[in-house]
Amino acid sequence: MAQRGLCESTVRFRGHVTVGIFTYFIAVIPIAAWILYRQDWAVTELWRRWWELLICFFLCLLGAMVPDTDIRSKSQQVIYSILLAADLILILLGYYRGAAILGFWAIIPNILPHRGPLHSYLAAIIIPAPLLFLPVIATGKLEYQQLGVSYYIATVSGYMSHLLADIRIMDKR
Amino acid sequence: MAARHIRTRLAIYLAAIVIIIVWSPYKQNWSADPGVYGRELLICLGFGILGLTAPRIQVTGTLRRAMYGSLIVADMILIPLAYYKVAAMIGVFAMLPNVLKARQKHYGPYAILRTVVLPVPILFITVIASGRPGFRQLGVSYYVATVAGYMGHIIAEEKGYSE
Repeated sequence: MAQRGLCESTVRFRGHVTVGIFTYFIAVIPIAAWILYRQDWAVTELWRRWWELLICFFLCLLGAMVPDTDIRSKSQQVIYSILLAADLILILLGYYRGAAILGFWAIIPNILPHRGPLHSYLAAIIIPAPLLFLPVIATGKLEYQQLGVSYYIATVSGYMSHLLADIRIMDKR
Repeated sequence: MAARHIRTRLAIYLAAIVIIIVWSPYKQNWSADPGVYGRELLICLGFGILGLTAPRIQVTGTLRRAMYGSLIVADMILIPLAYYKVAAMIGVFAMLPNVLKARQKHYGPYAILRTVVLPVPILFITVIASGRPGFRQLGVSYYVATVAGYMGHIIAEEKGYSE
């Protein structure tokens, strides 16, 4: 029974990651449009921000995993491994306040029921919102061009792809 | 078989109680304030329950929710009071079970060894919280209470598996 649950979890994980990859190929259009607008570049110059597109790709995949953090799953292991590493780095660097707040938010999915608040469109919009302001905080420049719109779009797209895939699976059942 | 398990658990709990009863006055230079002593014993009881239930935190259920709920409440008290170091440690401990695979890290042939190793950071909670390094500052009583609870759980589970 446990083995079956583990297999189902792995299939679910692979399915969501695959859907996330396909979603990125759609999301990359508004992401590229934002980068070009912000940098005031021609389309041919987009490759100069290849690293931003790569980060967006991984954020899209992570976004596709986030809703399943409320259940024992491979997605939960991946997301929490990243959060744990981030928390430990913050502690080692002496940012205890940041580590405490990150830890607090990381505990919350553990008390939520599966397919509960984390599986809602509102969560898909709100949870990635800090990504919008991370570049502003990192650079210290209060300009709208500094907003992490590309990161936000990538994560929301991944998150939405998970919700839509779940609806499709539920319909089939 | 069952009687042997019960005897082992009783022996572990008794040894833990003796260490806890002796450590608290020793920590205060043998001039134990009854109020502080009582508080220490209550905290140890909390750590004992934590150790006893910790392995179950990996399994989805009411107990898991209750444990994480209590950690959220603790964080909600500690963060506004600016105990960031302790709150950060709670965050790390809370994330660990989600990274480990259920019934593979907490149970198994090396489980008893893990019951001794995994709670080691608890030894240093009081050192970090007080900011004063020293042998007497170590959270020995909390550590012993957690290990005793954890070991009790593992022994009971092993009995369950063997039957």
